[in-house]
Amino acid sequence: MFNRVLAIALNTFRESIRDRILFVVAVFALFIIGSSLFLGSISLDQDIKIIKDFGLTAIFLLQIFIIIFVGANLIYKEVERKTFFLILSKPIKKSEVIMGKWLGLSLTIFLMTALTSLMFFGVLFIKIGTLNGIPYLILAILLGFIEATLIIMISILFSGFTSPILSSVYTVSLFLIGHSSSVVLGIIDRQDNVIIKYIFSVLYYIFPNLEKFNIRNDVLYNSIPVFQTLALTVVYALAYGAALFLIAKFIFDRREY
Amino acid sequence: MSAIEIKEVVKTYFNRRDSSTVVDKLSIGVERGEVFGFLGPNGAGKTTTMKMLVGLTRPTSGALKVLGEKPDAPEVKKKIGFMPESSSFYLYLSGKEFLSFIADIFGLSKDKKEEKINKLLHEVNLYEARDVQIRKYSKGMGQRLGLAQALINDPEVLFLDEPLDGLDPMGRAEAKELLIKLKKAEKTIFFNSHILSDVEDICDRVGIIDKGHLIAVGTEQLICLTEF
Repeated sequence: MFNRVLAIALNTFRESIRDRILFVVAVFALFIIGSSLFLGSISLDQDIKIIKDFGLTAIFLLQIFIIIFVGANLIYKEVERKTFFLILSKPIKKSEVIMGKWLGLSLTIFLMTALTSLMFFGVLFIKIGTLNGIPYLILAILLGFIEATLIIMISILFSGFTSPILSSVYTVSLFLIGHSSSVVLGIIDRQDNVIIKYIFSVLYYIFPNLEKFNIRNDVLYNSIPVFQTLALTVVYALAYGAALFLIAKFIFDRREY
Repeated sequence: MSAIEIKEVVKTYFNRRDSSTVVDKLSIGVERGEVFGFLGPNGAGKTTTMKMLVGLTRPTSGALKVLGEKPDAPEVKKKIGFMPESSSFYLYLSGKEFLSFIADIFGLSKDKKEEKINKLLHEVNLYEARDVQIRKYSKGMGQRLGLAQALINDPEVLFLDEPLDGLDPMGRAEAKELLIKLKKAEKTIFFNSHILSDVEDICDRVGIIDKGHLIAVGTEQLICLTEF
């Protein structure tokens, strides 16, 4: 089973690495990181904070843009180009294809994250001359990467039954909703109507709470979440990811080609 | 036990407003080692039948068996080869990379994979172009690569959808030669085509389908003599 997943993953990795959009996005991220040096220099005693802020944001945007522009096409292109006809007639399960696609794009994002992070740390080292605080930045980047892997699964799920444009729209919508969980909680707290309160509570638990993975601000102000909170966040990602995988599997199993 | 059994198979596609039956009460049996030509005009139901036989789509009613099992059984998929109509590939891969990817899905060992790929590339006359990206292949080269990928697992049963389509006369002759070689190796071949002359030299028996209905089945000579 793992061999087949790995074969799909490596092919997906190869496909995304050879996609020109990937390089446009990577250059954009590197430009933001590079420009943070200049912006930091014209700010008043905030240069290090600005470099860190820009660096973390650029890396996070890089991850999200790769998912939106490359991930949304993943399954749709296979159906459109009829490459699925070849693959699914071989001894491979649809669940293995989903897993392989997820792993392949995760690998691409990991590589691009590692490369941009190295530049980010380089810029930071040039500015402050020490590696102090970098482990916390790595932690924030890693949590962002875990969030990205969750969004990849969301993107794969949508690309299984909609066009790439709609898949991108749905993925971005879910991404924005996922980062607005505190707004939903606020609505629940302020509501007197029990039915509306109940509906929003259900929505709060159905939609992914992506703010759990955002410790970028905490890291900037040296406020690091405790280990237990971080461990629970990882468990949450695993559970939510498994649920998404099962839904995607259900959709793909019912589909005929 | 027949290699391929199709019994009373119906395939209907349902839309929101209407439905269309593309295969209607189709029954065919193909024996082991037999080369069966499935002829019919475009849109007759040949490709849908083949998609059901390789487990890509399910029949609305009726039963299909390949090597005694349901077509979507993993054990069956290990023993079959399928070449879709106008094969689609990952254009960013080279011919060799593509075959290597397919071999990985079948779990071929590294040594066996290398040996098998080189042998197939020679057989379909693509060895010289093995490192060229598929996007630069001609249609005929694509068809030959499609045939090579269908043979990577040394299948017992081969499903070929219009395998000679797009080939120039030289390519047709080479592909026919390869199919005759496979016939001699006692492979069961289920072969879709809309050109009678394509099946003349290769097939033991021929079935003719039109608008989803099987019109005739028998030897090619018998069908030529039959009025329908």
